[in-house]
Amino acid sequence: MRTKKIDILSYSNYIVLAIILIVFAIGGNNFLTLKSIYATINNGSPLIIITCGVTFALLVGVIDLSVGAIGYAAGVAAGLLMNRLDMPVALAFLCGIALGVFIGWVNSLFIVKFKMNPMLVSLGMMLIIRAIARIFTDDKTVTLGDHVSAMRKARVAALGGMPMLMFGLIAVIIVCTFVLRHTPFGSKLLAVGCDEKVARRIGINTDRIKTAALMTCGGVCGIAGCFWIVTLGSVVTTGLNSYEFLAIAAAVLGGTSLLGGRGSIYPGSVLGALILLFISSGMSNMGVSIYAIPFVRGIIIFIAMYVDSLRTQSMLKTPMSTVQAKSAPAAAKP
Amino acid sequence: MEKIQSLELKNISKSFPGVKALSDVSFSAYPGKVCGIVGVNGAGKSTMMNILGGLLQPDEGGKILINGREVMIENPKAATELGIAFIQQEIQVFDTMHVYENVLAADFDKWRKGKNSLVLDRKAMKKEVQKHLDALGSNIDVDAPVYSLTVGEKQLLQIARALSEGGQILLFDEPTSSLSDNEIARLFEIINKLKAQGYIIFYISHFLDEIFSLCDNVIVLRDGKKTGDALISDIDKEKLVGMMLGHMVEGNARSGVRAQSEVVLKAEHISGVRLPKDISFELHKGEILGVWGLLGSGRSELFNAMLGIDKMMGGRIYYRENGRLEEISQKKLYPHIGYLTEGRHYDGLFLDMSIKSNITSSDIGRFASKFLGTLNTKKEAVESRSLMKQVNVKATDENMIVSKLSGGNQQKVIIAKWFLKDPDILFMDEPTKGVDIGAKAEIQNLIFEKSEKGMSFVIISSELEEIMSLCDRIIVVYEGRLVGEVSKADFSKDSLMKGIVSQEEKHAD
Ligand SMILES: Nc1ncnc2c1ncn2[C@@H]1O[C@H](COP(=O)(O)OP(=O)(O)OP(=O)(O)O)[C@@H](O)[C@H]1O
Ligand SMILES: [Mg+2]
Repeated sequence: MRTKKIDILSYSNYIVLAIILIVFAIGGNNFLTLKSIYATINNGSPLIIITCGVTFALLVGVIDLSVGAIGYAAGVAAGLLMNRLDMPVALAFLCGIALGVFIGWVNSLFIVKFKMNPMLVSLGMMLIIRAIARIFTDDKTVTLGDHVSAMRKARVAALGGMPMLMFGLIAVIIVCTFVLRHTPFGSKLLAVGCDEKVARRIGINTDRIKTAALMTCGGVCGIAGCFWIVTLGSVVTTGLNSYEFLAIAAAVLGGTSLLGGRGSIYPGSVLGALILLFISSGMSNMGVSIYAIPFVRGIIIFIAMYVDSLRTQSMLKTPMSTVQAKSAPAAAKP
Repeated sequence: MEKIQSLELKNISKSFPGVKALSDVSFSAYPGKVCGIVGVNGAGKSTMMNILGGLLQPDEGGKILINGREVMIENPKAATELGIAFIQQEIQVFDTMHVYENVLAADFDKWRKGKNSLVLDRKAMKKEVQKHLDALGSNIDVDAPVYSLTVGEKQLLQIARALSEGGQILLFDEPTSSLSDNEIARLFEIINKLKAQGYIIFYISHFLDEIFSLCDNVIVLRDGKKTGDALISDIDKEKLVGMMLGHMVEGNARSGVRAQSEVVLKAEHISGVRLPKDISFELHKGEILGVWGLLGSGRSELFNAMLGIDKMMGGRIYYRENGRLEEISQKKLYPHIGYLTEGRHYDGLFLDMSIKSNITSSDIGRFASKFLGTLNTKKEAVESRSLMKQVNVKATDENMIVSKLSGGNQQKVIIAKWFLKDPDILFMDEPTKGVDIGAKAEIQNLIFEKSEKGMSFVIISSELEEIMSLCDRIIVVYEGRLVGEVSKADFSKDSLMKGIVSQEEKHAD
C-alpha cells in the first residue's frame, strides 16, 4: 500500500507535465506540434541548463542567487570575444565557461572559506557581475551575426526539424545526470547536503566538496550562457534576468530540497524546468495576457511545494516495517 | 596496512574553555583485548575516543604511539588510514541516502569501477555491504533508505561502516544504548569474534554488567583523570563503582505497594497508522506505569499516536479535570502533560542553545511578565540552576551551549526541562539513556518524589532492571498490541516475557 502511494507522488511531475500539455493541446491552437515543442525547449534551454547548474548548489544546501548572472556574464564574455576580437566560436565559449567556473570558485571562497551567508554572498555577486558586464558592453546590444547563425539555424530534417542545438542540451543533461548519479563526487555531494556535520565526522572533506559543487554550478551556468547567446543571436543587456528565481523554483518543483541532500537532475530538475517553460509557452499560445503567466507559474509552484511536503512527510514520519519486532530476546527462549 | 601490535597513549590532556576534559591520561592497549572505559557523565570518555578518532586534537605534550611510533591523528580520515574506526555515541547517518551508501560513505572514491574510472560500482558496493551485514547477522536491506530504519538498525549500520573501513582498532562509544537484547547479544558475539581475530577494542558503557562480561581490562576516568586501571578479574562491581564515583550508590526502592488512587488518564483503543493497534490502559494519580516491549514493538509509536505527534487512526483519550473523567482532545491535553522523546539529537533539544533556554523552553510562559510578556532572565537562571543541580548536570554554568555537553549530561538537561514544567502526567521514552549509574539513582529518586506529590508517569524503558525498580505496574506491548499487564508484586523477567512468548508461539503455529 504505502510503496504505491510514494510511487504516485514521485511520478507527480510527469503527471503534471502531461496534464499541462493536454490542457494546452485542447485549449491552444496547434500547440502540440513538433515544431512548437522544439521551439519551446530550444528557447528554454538556458533555463533548463541553469536549473541543472543550480541543482548542484542546492544539493549541498547553498541557495545560489548568482546563477542567472553567471550565465549572463559567460554569454557577454563569449559574445564580446567573438565580436571584438574575432575569436573562434569554440574558444570563446570555453572562455565563457571558464569564467563561470571562476565565479563559482569566488562564491565558494566567501561561502566555504569565510563562512559567509550563501544567499547574501551570491546576491552581492549577482549585482556585481551584472554591473561589470554592463560596463563592458556599454549597456548596448552586441550582435553576433555570422558567428553563431549557422549553429542556430542547423536543423535535423529526419527528426522533424529538430534544432541541432538540442543535441547540446541533451548532452549537458546527460552529463550532469551522470555526474550526480554515478560518480563518487555525486554521492559525496548528497552526503554533504544531507548532513554536513556527519559527513565531516566520518571523514569526507566537506569544504572541498562544497567548493567543487559551486564551481560545477558556475561552469554549468556558463554553458547556459553560451546557449543563451546562440539561441538569441545577440547579447542583450537584460538577458537572463530573474532566471535565478525561475531556476530555483524549477529545481524545487522537480523535487530538489532547499535544505540539500535530496534531488536529481533528470528527471527532477529538468522536468521542473519543462513544466515552467510549457506553462508560459502554452499560455502565450492561447493568447493569455503575458501578465497572467507569472501568476499561474506562482500557483504551480505552490502546488508543487504542497506535493513535496506530502512526499517528505510520508517519507520521514513512519519507519517502514522493521525486522526486529519478530525476534524475541534469546534469553527468553526455553 | 601493517598489523598493529600496540597502542599507547601518553600524558594526553584536553582543555576546553572552562573545562579540563582530560588531564594527563596514559594507558596502553593490545591486540586481542577488549578494554572497557567507564566513568560518570562528563568524565571524559567520549573526549578520549574523539581524540583517537581524529575529531579532536589533544593539548600539547601528549603522545599517541602505534607500534611504538608516534602518530598524529589530524582528522577522521587520518584515523581511518591508521586503522582506527570509531562508532560514535550519537548516531551518524545520512537519512535520505541508501543503506549501502551510508556504510561506505567515508570513501566513495574507493568504489569506482577501476582506477581511472569515474563511475561508482554500485553492484560491488552493495555486495560488500551485504557481506558485512551478513557477518553482523542482520537482515537490513542494503537498498533501503536509511530514514526507514529503526535506531537499532542505524546503530548496526554504523558498526558495518567501521568494519568496512578495515579498522584494526575499534572504538565503541555506548553502542548498546539503543539496541534490543537480541542485538546486544549479537553485538557481543561479534566483538568476541573480532577480539579473537586480534583487533584492539575499546568499549564504553554505563552498564557495568556489559563491562564485566565483555572486557579484559577496564580504565576508569573521573573528572578527566584516570582513577583506575585494572584487569577485570581483579575487581568487582563495588570496587569499580567506587573508582567511578568516589562513593557508593545507595540503592533505592519505593516503599510498599501503593493504595489505588483515582484514574487520571484513560486511553481507549488507541491505533496508529501501522502501530500501535487497539491499545487501552488506565493511569492512576501518582502512579508510575511502565510500558515494556521489544525494540520495534510500537512503544514509542503508542506515545506518538496518543499525543498527536503521529496521526491517531482511532481511539479516545479521557482525562480527569475538575473531578470528572471526560474525553479530551489531544490539543487540550498538551498543557497537562510532558513528553520526553527518545532521540535527544533530533527532537529532544535545541542543540545550539544554552542549557538555560533548553530547560525553560518547556514552560517559558512562566517567566514572562503579565503585562508586556518580557522574560525574567534572572528567574530563568535561578530555576535552571536549581534543576541542573537536582539532576546533576555537569557543566560550567547554565549558559553553556548544550551541544558541548557530554551525551549523558544532554539527557539530564531534557529531564530537567520536563521537571521544570511539572505537568500532571509525564510521558518518558527511555529517560535515562546514556546516564551514569550515580545520576540514574538520583533521577529515580526524583521520579519517586514527584509521584508522591501526585504526578503520574508513563515510562518506556528497555532496561528490565530499571523498569522493574521504578514502576508500580507494567504493560507489555508486542507488535503493536497489548499482550500483558503485570503488577508490582509479580515483577520478574518471566512474567513480563510471558505475553510475548505466548504470541510468538501463536505465530509458530
Ligand atoms: N566542545 C566542547 N566544548 C566545551 N566543553 C566540552 C566540549 N566537548 C566536551 N566538553 C566537556 O568535556 C567534558 C567531558 O565530556 P565527554 O563527552 O568526554 O564525557 P563522557 O565521559 O563521554 O560522558 P557521557 O557518559 O555523558 O557520554 C564534559 O564536561 C563536557 O562538557
Ligand atoms: Mg560520551
